[in-house]
Amino acid sequence: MSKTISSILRMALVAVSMLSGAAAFAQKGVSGRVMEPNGYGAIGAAVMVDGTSNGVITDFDGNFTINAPEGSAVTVTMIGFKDVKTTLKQGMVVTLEEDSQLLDEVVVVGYGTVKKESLSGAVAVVKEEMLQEKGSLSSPVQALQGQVPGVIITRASSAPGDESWSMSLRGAVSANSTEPLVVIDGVAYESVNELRLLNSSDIASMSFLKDGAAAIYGSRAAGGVVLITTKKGKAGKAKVDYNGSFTVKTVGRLPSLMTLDQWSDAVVQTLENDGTVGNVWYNYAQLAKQYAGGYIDLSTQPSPFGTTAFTDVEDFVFDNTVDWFGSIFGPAYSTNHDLAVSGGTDISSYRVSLGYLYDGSPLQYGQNNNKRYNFRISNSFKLSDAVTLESIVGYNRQDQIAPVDVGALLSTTVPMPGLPLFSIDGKPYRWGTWNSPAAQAEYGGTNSLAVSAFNVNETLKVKFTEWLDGNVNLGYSTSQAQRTKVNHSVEYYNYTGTKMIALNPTAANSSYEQTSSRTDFYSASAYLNAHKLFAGVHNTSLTLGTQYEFKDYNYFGANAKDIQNGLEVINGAGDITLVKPSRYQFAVGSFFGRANYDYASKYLVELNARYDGSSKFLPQNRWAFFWGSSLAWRIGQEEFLKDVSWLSELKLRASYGEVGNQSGISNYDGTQLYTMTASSGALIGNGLASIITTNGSFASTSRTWERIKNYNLGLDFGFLDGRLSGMFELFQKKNDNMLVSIDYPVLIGDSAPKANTGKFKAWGYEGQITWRDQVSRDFSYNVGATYTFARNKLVDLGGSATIVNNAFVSNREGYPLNSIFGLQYGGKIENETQRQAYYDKYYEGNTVGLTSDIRVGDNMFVDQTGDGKLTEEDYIYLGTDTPEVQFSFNFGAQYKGFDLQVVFQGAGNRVMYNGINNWTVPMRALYTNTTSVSVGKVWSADNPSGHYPPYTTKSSVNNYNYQSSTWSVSDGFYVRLKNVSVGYSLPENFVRRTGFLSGARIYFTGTDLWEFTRVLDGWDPEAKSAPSSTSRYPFMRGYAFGVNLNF
Amino acid sequence: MKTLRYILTVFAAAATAASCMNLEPKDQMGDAQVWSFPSNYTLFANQFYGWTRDFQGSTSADYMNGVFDGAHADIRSDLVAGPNANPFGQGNNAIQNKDDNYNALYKRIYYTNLLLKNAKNYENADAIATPVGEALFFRAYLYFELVQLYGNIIYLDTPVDLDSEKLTAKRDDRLTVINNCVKDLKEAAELLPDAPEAGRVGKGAANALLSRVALFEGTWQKYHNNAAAAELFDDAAKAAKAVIESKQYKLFYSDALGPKDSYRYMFILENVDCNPAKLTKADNTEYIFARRHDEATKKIGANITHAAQNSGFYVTKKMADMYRCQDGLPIAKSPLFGGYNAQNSEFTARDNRMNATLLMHGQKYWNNDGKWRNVWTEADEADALSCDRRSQSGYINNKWATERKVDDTNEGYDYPIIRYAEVLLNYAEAIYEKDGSISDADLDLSVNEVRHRSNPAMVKLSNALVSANGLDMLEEIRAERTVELFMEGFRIDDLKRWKTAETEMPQNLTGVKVTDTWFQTNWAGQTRPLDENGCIILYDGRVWGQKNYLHPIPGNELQLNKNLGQNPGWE
Repeated sequence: MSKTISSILRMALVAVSMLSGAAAFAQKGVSGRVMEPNGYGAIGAAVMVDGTSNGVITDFDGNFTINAPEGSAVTVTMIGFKDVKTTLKQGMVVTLEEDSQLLDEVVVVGYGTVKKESLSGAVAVVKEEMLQEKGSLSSPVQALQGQVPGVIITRASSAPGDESWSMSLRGAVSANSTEPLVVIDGVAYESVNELRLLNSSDIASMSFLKDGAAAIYGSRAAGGVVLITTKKGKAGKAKVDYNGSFTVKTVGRLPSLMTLDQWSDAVVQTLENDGTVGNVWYNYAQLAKQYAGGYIDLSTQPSPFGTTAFTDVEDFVFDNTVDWFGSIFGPAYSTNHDLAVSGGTDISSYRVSLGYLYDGSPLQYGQNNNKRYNFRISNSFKLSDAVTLESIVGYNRQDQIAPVDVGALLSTTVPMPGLPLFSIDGKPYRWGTWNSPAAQAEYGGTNSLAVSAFNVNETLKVKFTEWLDGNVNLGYSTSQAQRTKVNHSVEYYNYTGTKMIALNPTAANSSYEQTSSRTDFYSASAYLNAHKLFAGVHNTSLTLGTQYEFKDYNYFGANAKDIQNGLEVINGAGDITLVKPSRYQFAVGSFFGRANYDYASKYLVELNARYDGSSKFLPQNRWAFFWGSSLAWRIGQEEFLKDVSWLSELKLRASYGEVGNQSGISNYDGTQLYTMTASSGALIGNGLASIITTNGSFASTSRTWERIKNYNLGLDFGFLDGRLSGMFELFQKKNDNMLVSIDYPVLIGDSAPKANTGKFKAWGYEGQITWRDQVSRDFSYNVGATYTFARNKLVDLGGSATIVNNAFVSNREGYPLNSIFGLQYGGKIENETQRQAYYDKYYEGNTVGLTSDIRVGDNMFVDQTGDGKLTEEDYIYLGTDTPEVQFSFNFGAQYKGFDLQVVFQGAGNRVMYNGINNWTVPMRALYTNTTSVSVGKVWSADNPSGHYPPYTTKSSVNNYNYQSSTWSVSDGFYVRLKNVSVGYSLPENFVRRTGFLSGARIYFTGTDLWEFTRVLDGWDPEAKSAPSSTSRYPFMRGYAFGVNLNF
Repeated sequence: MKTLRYILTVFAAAATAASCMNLEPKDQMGDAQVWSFPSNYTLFANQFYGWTRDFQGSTSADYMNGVFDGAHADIRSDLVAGPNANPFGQGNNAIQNKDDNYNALYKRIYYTNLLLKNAKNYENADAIATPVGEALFFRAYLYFELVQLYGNIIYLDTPVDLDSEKLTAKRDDRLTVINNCVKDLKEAAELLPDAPEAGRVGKGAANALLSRVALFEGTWQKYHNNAAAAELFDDAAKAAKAVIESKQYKLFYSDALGPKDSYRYMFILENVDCNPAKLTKADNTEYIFARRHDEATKKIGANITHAAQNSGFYVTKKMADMYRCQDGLPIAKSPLFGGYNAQNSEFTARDNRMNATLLMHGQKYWNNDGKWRNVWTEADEADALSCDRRSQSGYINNKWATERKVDDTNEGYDYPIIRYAEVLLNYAEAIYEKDGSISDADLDLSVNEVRHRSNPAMVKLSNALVSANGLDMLEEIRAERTVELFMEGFRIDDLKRWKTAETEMPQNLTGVKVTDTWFQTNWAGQTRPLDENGCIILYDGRVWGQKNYLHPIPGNELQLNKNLGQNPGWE
């Protein structure tokens, strides 16, 4: 940084001296030209005679003339390029070399930057390259999954706009949520999810503060801090960049459902197993076989069931071509275009960017897509030599639309195969009381979201003296989100399309709902930064500052019934109701500081601290002090290692920090809140009494921020001129005053607030290793890997009762969050003798659902405690639903204009349990379809290796067999080919010939192309356990083609 | 350096802004907004009116159920049975981990305390006198509920913090709690208006409740602890007397309806045609405090008519036998008693309240099931149901059943939380318990007043009648109470405080006498066993241990406060 500042200063000095003496030295002296590496003249480069204040600045073509004798030693400097020392010669041409080192070395940390070599905390940095050429990114974090050590990124869906990307730095630190704090250009953002509104190509760098280094963000740093810096203009000729891509997406892993034939066989088998062949579905299955591919229209034919069953239907359709789930999801496309113009002079610089994203949906019915528009302008203006004003104005818009009844398509209750999605002539189909969900999605109305966000960010930078500068930042953002849900009445028909059967919902129940929220956020911060080198070895710096942030949220809406189709405004002849409005404000005030000291760049010490006050707490509990410190020893800089040629860097780091968390605390904690409800009480006087009640929660006057103690030990290394480099970190986090719910005697009245009485611990390690080599001028390659392991344990729930439960348990003392418990599988019951013995031994007093209906072929479970009883005491810990391991491998190569990037990403130490539903338990309900995984894998005496117990509809048996156990859970380990990217940069001289292009590149990127997984039932290994609603959208494989043009 | 000044200014501004963090809630009210306005005290107090007894107040916090099964309902006593044995009546109820009554009562007490705490800081006490009085009234009402159910309990007179010692305290003695209730009610009587808005409590309600509370505890102390309770009886008598002397309330009586029907129609009085005299609730002078209903704005919401007549309540023979004969004597001693032999012979010459409450065989009646009264003349009788006693216990209840046309659950009569008749009976009992005797003047003022509303010709209860016939004055006073307040949620609590539950409750619940009566030859479907007197046994095997006088403390609370201690017999 200091290097950059000094070059700016020098340039400024040169400019001043040149302006003052321009007339006197005109047209005299030595002339020459400074070129940029791309062959253009370098505008605004400074050429200065060493040891004097004599210097000039190059013109728009890179030419200069300096009044100095030939042979004088001069230095040519320009921002972003390495300084060139040379001697003056008439007609000389100096070609600058880009100083990529310079950018690499500076890392954005809270309220300032440090040189990477001076970093003593655990900070991971991602540069813009990682975000580029990845096709359409629904969120910038999408490009980082698994590839930044310690940064755990997961997604919940591929529904456009509802991906719900989430990120944690090194996993959980509390049973309460602890998302990392996202700060963009110095202004805090609401949540990681808000990043979906950001255009990835506007990002210059991202810093992840993972340890005590985050303490400068104090009370909100419990989950770590992500600092995002956006791109700024650079002095130089105007540059235009265009980047466009088109992505074709195909459906990735998806469970398949039984075909009509498989299902009919399974129904027959099930009913024979159950001894209930008199069931109407037995006949139905026979009919399905008989009529496969055809249908029975009851308006022309008698019902095969007479009046005994299915009396409310119009037809029986046995369409064996319908692939129910498969036809709901299909290919989609997405596209994005970014255009950026940047440039500037030494006085001012600018960058203007436009972005457009269209993301299509795999859903084949109904309108479903997400559009994003971004506009961003940043400029920097020097008010004087010492004062710079930087402005950023951004506007983001998101338009998302989905079918309002999308849930109908995403249910586990999919009807039996054979039923069509639409009538023969394409009308909405209905069978009995069942509406085709595809028709519901297509015609039932839409749920659309329009988000419009505008933000302004003004920064005033002042350089008071050589060693003291200041920075004032004002940020304002306002965002408006409007959601519109329209529920249309749909006319449903019989299969032949000749008879309208039902209007659903009825006209009176059709509705139009519009809700709107507005969020205003203000941030003001100011800090002073002093830095000085004493005696050449004592490098010190000190930052002190203050910040105030304020948020105001307002939400309201209305719902109208009995609407007119086609009107695109809230309307209705029926009931109009108010959607419960909501409004709150929140403010944080802070004082912060950081002090750094290093001795000869060998021994580094950093202390940072923040004193935070939050409006959430009562004044007496409001303020808290958080701090962090780190030490680093650059062993490689010691005299005895300095000359070891194979060692380029060896740094040992240690840090400790205490950071805060205030999630789990409502906005007005400590204040008793009351609600007034009109006309809802007893009958008093002539009407119902209006009443004021408390909000049901007891105000706490004593609780405070959770305080997380963060320990970190790290090692950075570089060998062989940096060809082999990497890092390794060990961490531990302890939360000794976690907010947990406590049971109090009911005497207190309202429900008790959480109290700081829990204990939580997390620990793990992460590492990264990279080998990069420039084999020849034309060929270079790199290989690398990252690995993150993070485990946690709820040490103490503060005395709350621990209920022993099976399946998913989010909070159980002594275990990780989101653990899964269950029985140990003991094999199948293979014969009647075994069945009787197992039953006799364990039936009495069992609490695991062992039923008298148990059959040969059903599961046996192990009596872990050996007490002769199967009870909840026999549940064992099966693992956690949150993957403890994240890893990636990457390989890259460049040859001439070609480059290749391959990234494999994966996760491990995860257990998935999808519960008991119509998809996890085959033939649980006859009238629904289920996944086809069980076909051919059902246990029988002839097929003793069959995984699935014989089909049954008896819930007692199914609930017993399919309960959480080592048999029913899946190993969530996977490896996925996350990214393959092939690019070609057109040769420069070829590009230049176009006359307007300065660079051109084409590339192909494939995402999520392949995976190895052990998940049994066809779901994606990345999917949530027990997926429901939009998390049942399949993840997609993407094939993106893109171009990148520079003008 | 000029710029430095700017920077410093910004720092100072930021520091100032940082202290601007006292933000007030926006979509809910905070303490300051609520407790600075007298009208909000009233709005806060309004919620208290949802916590009283009702026909069916709540299925979970069942202390509120006045008629349907709940902590005080007669169906848990010896007067009424249901289609199934009631565990509380049978004496085999179990300890619960979580007890909704216990939770709801303490939660509600907290709200009364919250109002009272904030009222202390409000400067204009006169402006909030009524809501403060209401809070005191309801705090007493709720603590009285707790004492009735659990005996000793922790008493809190202000909201407590989470670190309060009270949360792990031992229980306070019930007498301490009751004394606080008495104090609250006396204070409430001072604060509450003489003539409150309809549906609200006034001075009369405070005194009336005081008479109930003090009499309850007085008798409890006397019969359970052998303790002198003169002060409580005195309080009870004085409070009742204050209500009487206020002359604000009168027993409901209409000449147009006559003695028998005045008593009957009072319970189903609505603001539409619900009785032949076209009387409305405005004519009801007797209800001191009622949980009000209205077909349009606040219907009862429970199927009261059908439950009362058919499915819910099987009146026992013990109840039927309790009605005195017109000579003022119990059936065992009265020469007027007509015996059980004929269909309706036992109704002969009995207290009119018997037939006002129980239907005779062949009697015309209506319910809201298509056989309802439309014109309120004799013409309605052509389209009526005819009572058949050959079901249930053989005694067919008609109290709480409407006659008018109204959909199920939409009935709109009020539930009498406190009515004047009770106050009169409290007075008689308190005087007798205090003095061991009662003057004829006091009897005329109380018991005879109540009795003669329905029975103008009945022989008065007097010291002379008692001595001439070998009666027990106390038993007569108690019987009058039982008869008058049947199905209003008093019986089980009375048996508990009199400590007679241990003899009354274990008795079998029986129905009509079958052997040698009209029923024997005419009720073929009656196959239930008969007792030694030939009466139907509805439920037997009932027990009543000392532990049954109190409900057990819920298990969860015992875990959370080790000092709480379980009630005797429930450990």
